[in-house]
Amino acid sequence: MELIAAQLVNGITLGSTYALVALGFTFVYSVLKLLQLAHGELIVATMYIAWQVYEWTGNMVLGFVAGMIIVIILSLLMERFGFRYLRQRQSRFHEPIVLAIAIAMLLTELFAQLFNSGEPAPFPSSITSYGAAFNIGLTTFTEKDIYIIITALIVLFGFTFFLNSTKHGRALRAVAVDWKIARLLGIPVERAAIMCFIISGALAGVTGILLEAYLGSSYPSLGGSLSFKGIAIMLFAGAGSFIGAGIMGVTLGIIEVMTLQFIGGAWRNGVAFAAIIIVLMFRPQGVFGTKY
Amino acid sequence: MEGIISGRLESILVFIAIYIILTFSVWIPFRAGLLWVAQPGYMAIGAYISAMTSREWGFPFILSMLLGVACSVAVAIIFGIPCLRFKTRALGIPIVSIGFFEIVRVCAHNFPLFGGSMGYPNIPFFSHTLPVSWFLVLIIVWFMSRLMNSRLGRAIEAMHDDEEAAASLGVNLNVIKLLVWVLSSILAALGGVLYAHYITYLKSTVFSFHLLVSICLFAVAGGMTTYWGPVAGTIILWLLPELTRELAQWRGTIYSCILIIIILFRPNGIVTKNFIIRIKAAIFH
Repeated sequence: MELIAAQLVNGITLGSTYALVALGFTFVYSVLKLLQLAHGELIVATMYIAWQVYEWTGNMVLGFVAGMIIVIILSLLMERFGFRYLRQRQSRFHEPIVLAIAIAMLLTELFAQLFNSGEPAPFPSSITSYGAAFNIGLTTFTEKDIYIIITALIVLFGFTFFLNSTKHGRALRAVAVDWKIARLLGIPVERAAIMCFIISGALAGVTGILLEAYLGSSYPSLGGSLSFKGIAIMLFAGAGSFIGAGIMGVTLGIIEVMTLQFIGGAWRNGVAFAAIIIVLMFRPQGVFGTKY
Repeated sequence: MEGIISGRLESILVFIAIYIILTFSVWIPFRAGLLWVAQPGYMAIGAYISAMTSREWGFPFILSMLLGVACSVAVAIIFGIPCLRFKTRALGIPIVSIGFFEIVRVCAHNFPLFGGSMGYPNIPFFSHTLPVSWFLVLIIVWFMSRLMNSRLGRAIEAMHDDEEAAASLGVNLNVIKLLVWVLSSILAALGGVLYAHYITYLKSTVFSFHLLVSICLFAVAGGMTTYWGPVAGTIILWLLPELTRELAQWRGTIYSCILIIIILFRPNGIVTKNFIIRIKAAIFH
């Protein structure tokens, strides 16, 4: 019984990291109907920049700050020179996705070239240590687990509150529904897109910091696997639903950890994807999806 | 044939042919508006089934190929029928198809029948792969030109533009979707069979998301609107890393920069309908 409870805690923590990644994708999709497939790479960019600054200066906090700033700048550059051009041209459905994939490939290649010659970049133990452990009931929560879970909850409820209850958030949702009508109603669509990319860049920064602590090291193709899982969770939960992305992220984390424990490591992804397929077969709009 | 073409050139040509076939298998569903990306799974099914029948039971190549393709078609029908409930541009389709090929890959990786993590070695080498693969490419291009100009092809493109309007005009959506999926799985399985019998060694890591992204990029960058698109896209994007070998480690960076440039400035792909009209005018006038 303790084993199940301990693995449940592990699953919730892993699931919270997945949920954070999925929330980034959900946010950009909710506002711009765009699958920002480079989001995983932005997360890994934070990790690599923080690592590089740490190598140069020995100060991890400086690394985090530099990582977040540079990733927000990268996000803005993507918007300004890439996606805005496509939007003004009223591009067809597949073009922003291909552009995002191409940017993601470019970033992955740059990581392999510029940082540590493509070797996995380990992070110092001051970050990756588990911290104090708290015993609650049958299980043990460590400090690291608590940080990750609390951050995921804050981001989740923060985004939901922002998009539903504040003026700026509702403006962003109006842009998502129909940007031409939103422009007629006086909402500055260009500024909305810029704000969306800034927020998602900041979220990528925060997620990168937490993943640094959780994973211990990063490697160039990490961005691809994060994007993959993030998009899968987003579509599993129903595109546009934040609480859904959060819950489904945690569920996927728990499924993966339980599979790891009771069936064996190699089946991890298989069981998780089997679950996703079966649910999507019966409910194509995703578990929490609304319009279809 | 072996003496005329050197080994490296031969392998480049074979790979281009295999990838052209795979790119067509991705191109057809894209033409119909379905973001159907389960092709690595069908490639794996074709490859493993044909490899098993070749190696264990000593079947000749043609028979193995037919068995691999038949299994792929059967799985496509079984898997396609529940997928009919998705609408044509729905995002559920790519996720379900990615899930499908991930499951196939994980099964190939874990079951000892398929060699487990060590792979599946010693498949009988098929020495006529080069002419057979290019012959298949020619047949497929001819088939696509006939298909896309026929009533069926116009139905497929109608489904791409507006599913409900097409249905209201008498296009049987379910039949056409199944047809597109079956055709795509046949092509993917053909690619898998040729791959297995040329490389003679199968590893489950080959049939991955990475392969899928490559063939999708060949299809999209080559041109989605005509059937010459996959051919041109595969040839150009496959030769690019080969020709820039001197640049060694920066190849990938340059490759992705070129992709970004293509998608920003020539979104319809390298080969568009206008391009073909102009080439035909230049040749024939």
